[in-house]
Formats: sequence, structure tokens, C-alpha cells
Amino acid sequence: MDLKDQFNQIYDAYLDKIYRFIYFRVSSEEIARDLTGLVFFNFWKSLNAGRPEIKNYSAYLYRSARNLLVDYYRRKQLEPLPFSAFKEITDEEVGSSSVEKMEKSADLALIYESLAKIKKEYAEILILYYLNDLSIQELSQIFHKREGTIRVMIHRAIKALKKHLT
Amino acid sequence: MTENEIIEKLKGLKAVEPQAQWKNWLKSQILASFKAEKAEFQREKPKAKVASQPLVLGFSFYRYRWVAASLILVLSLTATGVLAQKATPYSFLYPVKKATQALILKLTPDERRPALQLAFTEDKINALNHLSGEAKIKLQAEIKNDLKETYQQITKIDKPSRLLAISQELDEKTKKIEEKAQNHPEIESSISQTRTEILTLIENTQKLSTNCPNYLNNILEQLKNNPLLEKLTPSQIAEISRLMGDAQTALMANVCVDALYDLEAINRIAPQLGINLTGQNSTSSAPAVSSQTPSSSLNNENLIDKIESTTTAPSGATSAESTDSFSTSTLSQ
Repeated sequence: MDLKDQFNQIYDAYLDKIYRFIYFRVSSEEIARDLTGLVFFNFWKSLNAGRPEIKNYSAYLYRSARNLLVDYYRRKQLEPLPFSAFKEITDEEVGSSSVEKMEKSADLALIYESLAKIKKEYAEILILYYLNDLSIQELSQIFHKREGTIRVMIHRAIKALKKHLT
Repeated sequence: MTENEIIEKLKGLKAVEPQAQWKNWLKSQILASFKAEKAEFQREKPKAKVASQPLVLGFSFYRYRWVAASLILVLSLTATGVLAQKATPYSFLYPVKKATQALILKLTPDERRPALQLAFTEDKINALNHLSGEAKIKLQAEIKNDLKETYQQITKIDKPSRLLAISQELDEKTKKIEEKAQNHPEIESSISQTRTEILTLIENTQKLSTNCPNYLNNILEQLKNNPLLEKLTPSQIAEISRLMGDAQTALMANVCVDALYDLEAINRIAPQLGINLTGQNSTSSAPAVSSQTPSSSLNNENLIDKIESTTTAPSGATSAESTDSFSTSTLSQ
């Protein structure tokens, strides 16, 4: 399998998940799109540079996304995308957003708002575990915490979310 | 709302996803950037290689050991250095890791170096499980070379007592490595052979080091009373006095090989004292021990046999009898 095929495979498998993970942290479709683009652009760069073999793509991509989020919150501004010189996509081309549809559902909107109110780490872990279907083991690698600690964190995160919902 | 209901609602957020048009656009943009990025990285690669080489090649470590120590500190403190320690063989940061390990080995005391080298080798054997093809073959060659170096390092330990002090550690480490190598037939025999050589060396040293024969005490006693000592220069006398003190201490501690080396050193400083440590008659053509390097002495089977024959003398023989065969012309005046 050549690099392009490898990239295509990973891109198709993880793009939605990474986008979702970022979106619930930044609450902006535009910023989520830019950060997601950066995650995959950096991944493509690493593949071409022959960097150390990536053993766990999922952990690699989520860690990359988390690092970019930290940078984003620190500076509150985004670096321009490396490929911004190319043709920009228009709003029409982006199409109607699934977020808009979600906001029309009262329950989902409530959950979404509550996620923004709990600890960032709790929100992340809930998104990754329940929305993106990551295993406890994968979460352990991403958060650099023991599996037992991750289980406790999930339990506490649900409790925290419940507190904001009631 | 119960926790289960919350979880179900949470899962409803899976509906959030980017639009298909945007996904396709992003992919095409990223892939289009491929050529420019690839060219940039190819230009960068040689720079990294050149920068890492001077760390290991043509560097006088002894002369610049403090510079090297500072370098290690800097390497350890920088992100690259830290990351490099986790680098797998033949990955991007592996040359940095190798250079750092080479420096650490050079700065480590002689008697600690073999164990450290074996620890690095063990890491490499672990890494073999994750490699294939050319990288694996290269690493196997590297491991074999490491083992040869380890053996050389052991032979360079200047005092046998120091080797004996680390013998148990060497035994354990080589055993562990041998067990791990069972999954890698390509290196298994090399490791087994090196372990055998190391254990033989330790065994020989142990034979030399226990039960000091009486003749060494006699040599030392006669040396103290040797009138020729007075004819030596003050600096020679000072050095010989120090060595005699060391030899005395070694004999009291029953570390006779160290005493032997101290006496050899005296012989080198003042050959006119005529110390004959071979136990041979002065007219014998047997080579003098004093002409040998410490490491070659460790392998001197002749000397081992003589000491063994002294210490395992028949029960009917007195210690004086067993000593006599060695003490002939111990000090020719």
C-alpha cells in the first residue's frame, strides 16, 4: 500500500470523528474545520517525511487534535492553513450543516450546552467514549492515564453532565 | 433524566459530522500539497544526518569528557534528546539516541560500562520484535557488534576484584539476554558464545582471586627488607611504598590477584629488585608476569594452574613446602 492509499484509508476512517471531537470543544464549525484540516495536513506531512512509524493512528490523530486545541485556546487564533493559497471553499460548497439540524432538537441542544459547562477533560472523554466509540485502552493511551483511572473519569463525567442537566 | 438516558442522548450527537463536499475538498487540498512538502523534507534530511555524526566520530572523549558531559546534559534536557531516548531503531531520532548512548558509555567508569552496554543491547533485542527486513538485519549486526565490545570492555577492567564485584550482575544480565534471544535464532548463537566467554573469564578470575598463596606474602615481606630499596629515587620509593600498602591490603582481604598486580607494578618501576612472580627459577625462560598487561594476565592459564596447585597442595604438605616451589629466587639480591 503506498502512502496515498494509506492516507486515504485513515482519512476516511477518522475524519468525522476528529471533526466531531474538535467541534464539541470549540463550538464553531469554521474553527473545527480549520483545526481538523491541520490535523490531517500534519499527518500527511509526517507520512511523507518518513517519521517514526505510527503504530496507533487513532491515538496519534487524537493527540494531534488535542495539541492543536491547546494551542488554539492559548492564542485564541488560528495559523492559516498551509494550503490556503489554493482555492477556498465557499459556504455554498460546504453545504448545510448537520449541526444546524442538531440544534433543532431540544434534547440534543441541551446535552450539547451541558457538555460545554463541564470540565474540558470530562467533555473530551465523553465525546471520545460515547460518540467516537473509542475503547478504554485507546483512551488510556490518549490521556496517558491508567485504564482504571479512565473508567473513574467516565463515571465522574456522566455524573457532572447529569448535574448540569437537572 | 437517568444516566442511561443521558448516555443515549449523548450518542445522538453522533449526527454531528462535516459535509461531504468539504471532506472531499479538504482531502484534495492536502494531497495536492504532497509534492512541495516532500521536496522540503528531502532537503532537510541530510542536515539532520550530518549534525548527528560528529557526536560519535573523531571525538577525543577523554580529553573533552566534560564537554561531552555538558552535551549529554543539554541533549537530555532538550525535547529532541528526551524524545530520542524513546526512539526505536532506525527511526527518525535513532541516530541521536545512539550518539547519546555512545557518549554515556564513554563517560561511565570501566567496571560499570559492560553492564550498561548489556542494558542497551537488551533494549535492542526487545526492538527486534517490532522490526522486519533490512532494518532487522542491521540491528542484528549491531547487537553482535555490541556483544563483542562488551567482552572487550570486560577484559579492560583494570583490577580483577572489580570484575568480581560485577560478576553476578554480568551473569544475570547475559542470562536475561540469552533468554530473550531464544526468539531470534539469527543472534542466539552469538549471544550464547559471548555469555560463555564472559563466564569463563569470570571463573578464571575467581580462581585467581581466592586463597592467596603464601608465596605472595613472602615476596612482600622480603621486599620490605630489601636493601636495594634504599638505592631508589625518592619518587620511586614513594610509589613503591604506596603499592606495597595496596598489596598488603589486598592480601589481607584475600584478593590475591590485586596483590599480584600491585607487585607487578613494583616490578615495572624497579626491575632491579628482581621480583619473580612466575614462581619459576630465575634462570627459567618463562616470560615474566611483569611484561604482561592486566587483561592478558586474566587469561593466563599457567598462572591460574600454579596458584591452584599451591592452594590445593596435598594435605600432608606444609604450607612452607607448597610455597617453596614458587619462592625460589623471589628476590634475587
